[in-house]
Amino acid sequence: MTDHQRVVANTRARIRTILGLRTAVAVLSAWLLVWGTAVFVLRGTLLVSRESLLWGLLGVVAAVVFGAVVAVRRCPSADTVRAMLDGHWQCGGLLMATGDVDTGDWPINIPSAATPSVHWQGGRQYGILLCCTTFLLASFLIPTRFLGELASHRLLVGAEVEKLAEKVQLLKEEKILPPERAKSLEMALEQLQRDASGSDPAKTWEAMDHLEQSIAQASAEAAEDAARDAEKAARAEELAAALDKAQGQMSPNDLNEAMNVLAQDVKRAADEDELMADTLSEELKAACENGSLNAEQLTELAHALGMCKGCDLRRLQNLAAARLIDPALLEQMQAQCEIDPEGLAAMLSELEDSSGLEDLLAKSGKPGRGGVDRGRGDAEMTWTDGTNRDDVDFREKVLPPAVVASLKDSRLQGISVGDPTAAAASEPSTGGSLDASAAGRGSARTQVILPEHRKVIQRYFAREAAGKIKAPANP
Amino acid sequence: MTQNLDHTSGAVPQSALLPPHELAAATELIQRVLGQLDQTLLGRQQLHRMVLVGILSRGHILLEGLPGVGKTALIKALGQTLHLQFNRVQFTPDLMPSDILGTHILRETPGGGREMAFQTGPVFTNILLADEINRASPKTQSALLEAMQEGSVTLLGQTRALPRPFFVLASQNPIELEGTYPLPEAQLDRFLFKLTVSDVNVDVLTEIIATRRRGEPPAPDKALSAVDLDLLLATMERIYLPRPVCRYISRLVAATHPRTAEATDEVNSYVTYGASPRAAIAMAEAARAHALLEGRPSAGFEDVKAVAAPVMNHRLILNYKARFDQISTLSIVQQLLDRLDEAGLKLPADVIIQRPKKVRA
Repeated sequence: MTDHQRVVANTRARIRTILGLRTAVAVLSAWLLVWGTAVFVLRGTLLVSRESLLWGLLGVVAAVVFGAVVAVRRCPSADTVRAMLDGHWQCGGLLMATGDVDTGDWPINIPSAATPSVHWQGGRQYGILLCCTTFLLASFLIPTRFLGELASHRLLVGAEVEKLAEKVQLLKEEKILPPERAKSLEMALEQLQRDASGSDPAKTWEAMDHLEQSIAQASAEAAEDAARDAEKAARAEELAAALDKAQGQMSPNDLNEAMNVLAQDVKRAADEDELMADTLSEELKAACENGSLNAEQLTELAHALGMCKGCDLRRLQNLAAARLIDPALLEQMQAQCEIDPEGLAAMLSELEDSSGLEDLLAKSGKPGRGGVDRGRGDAEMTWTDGTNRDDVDFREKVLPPAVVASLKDSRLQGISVGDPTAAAASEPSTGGSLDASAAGRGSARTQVILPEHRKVIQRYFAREAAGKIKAPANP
Repeated sequence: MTQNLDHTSGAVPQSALLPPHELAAATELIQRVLGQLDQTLLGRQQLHRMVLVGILSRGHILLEGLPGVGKTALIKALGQTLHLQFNRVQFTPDLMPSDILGTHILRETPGGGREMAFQTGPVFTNILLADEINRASPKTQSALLEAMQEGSVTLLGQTRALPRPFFVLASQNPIELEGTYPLPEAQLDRFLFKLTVSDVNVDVLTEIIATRRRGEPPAPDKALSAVDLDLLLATMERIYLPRPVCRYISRLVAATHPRTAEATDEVNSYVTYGASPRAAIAMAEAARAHALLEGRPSAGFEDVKAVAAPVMNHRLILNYKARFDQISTLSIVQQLLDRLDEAGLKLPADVIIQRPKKVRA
């Protein structure tokens, strides 16, 4: 490649670069503006997340590719660039002729370092690009709450929906809700978020209340079941542990009776608690039903029952942590499920006859042992003697009169100044011309004196009678 | 002496540039002619070059200037130098076309009969000096139309070819003077160049007075032969005109028309009619001739710029607004040359190609 060919190629490359840069900046500015507007609108109206709006990066790549294509297409041909260089170097057409004819011995002396520099005075375009970039960044970085305020017709229920979704997820993980029900609730939440409108917020809030109520109801039912299972497991665990400890100190009959009670408790609990049914081995169940539990099996049974109780309490803890149940209920259940195997074992050891065993065991699991002001509502009531009503006097007290029903809703319109006699406003004139008039006086019409005027007229004449007003002189 | 130097063949694709040694012979002849002219008329180097460009382009030249500035002397010297037949016609208001073209006369034959014989006019020559051409009536001026364009004369239905080469070198006084008839546009368009002969400066005038008795220039002592002129014109045919230069000429001529793509504001404001296609053809030929004068085998943009003004200054028709604003044709052509991009890169306005300082290797 000769020097002039190298200069022509370099010049074309520089022109291509500048044209590509110029086009890319222009297209990129336009795209960033469009993208920023789309981000602003989508975030403001549909609350679309930032991550899902990053698809606009593809437009940046497209802008660069478009700039390159335009640069290639708009770049002057080699002949044109050669002509430009020929004119600059005043080659007299020799450089131009190299593209068409054989120049022979004619020298074309152009230094390779003579490649012209190509500049783009694109300060304004760079400024526009900067503004568009700033706008895009602002569209991305502006907090959602400001966008929500801008889009006043949107009802921002995202946080509430998110909380409900977390609760549904928890109920789903705890297997409180079946998967189908959990999925339908999640879809309902998504639909609710999409349709939330500030123009009709009551509809949204009502729907949310309904969903929350459903979730709360399911949680309460699950908590109740868990509490019941935990309590049964705790009682059975306590008995199993107590029997394990008092096994050698009890008579065979008492032990057999206690084993029967334990078997019934375990069976009842296993029937209602799937977790317990899964936890207990078949061998353990059979031994429990046969009443042939040895010490090792009793220990294993107590351990398994303790695990079931722990699982139920952990579920309650999760529900309480998610504020699906009252934390006080959790504390109550934790206190309820505390066992005292040593105490029960001592009582079983001191039991004299097996007739009191059932009563003892029945009482051991009952509440109401915490005093008169503590305990649950299902504690057994204890009655003492009835109250004596003799020598008791009631204090007399006069009650205020009842409110008059007819005046309750009355409203004061005004206070009349005259007598409360009604007169027809359209009372016709009485008498004819000079009716009942004396000579020189009289009127063609009798003036109707309305009630509100009557008092004034009476006062006027009263004063006239007292001589305080002079009669007007006749003209 | 009539030379038959018809080289007006069609455009033949050129495969190679003229070799340097062949061009050198033509250049040497041209320098000899220029030296003779410069020796004959002092202080007119640029004018001599442009006249020679016109001759090499086979074009007709209109010289405009005040009386006594050397128009006629230049043309006479050129005729003597080129060793061509030379006739001079002094145009006057009562000059008739037959006084230039010739006429038929009745004469007696050797057998005693009578016949109409054609008596050639002064136009039947190689170089016709039409002195003060604007003093003749338009009728007489128009008699030269066919001769200048076709190189022939038609009278009574019979066309007679003029000798080759045929040049009309006309002089005229400025049209503001009394008793003149401005040349019609069709006549003007047939002139390749319109050259303005200006006054000489004091130094040149002093030299003329000191060295010339009665201002008579010395007779040229080195005249070209017919073979030399043939060689010059043949070399001229082989000067290469690149396609970008052709396009530049076309764009330049197109830009002289108002409301065209590349017309300047001045063109839109002051020009009524732009240059004709004949102007583009003339400019291309003149650019080749200028390149030959410069000793180059191809024409470049600078050659076009050198000949653009004399080619177009009599072809643009300005409006009254231009006359009112004292805008000349030359200024409009110069603005076009300044503003029109030679290569036609068509780059956006904010893309600047900054050319490095010229460093010849």
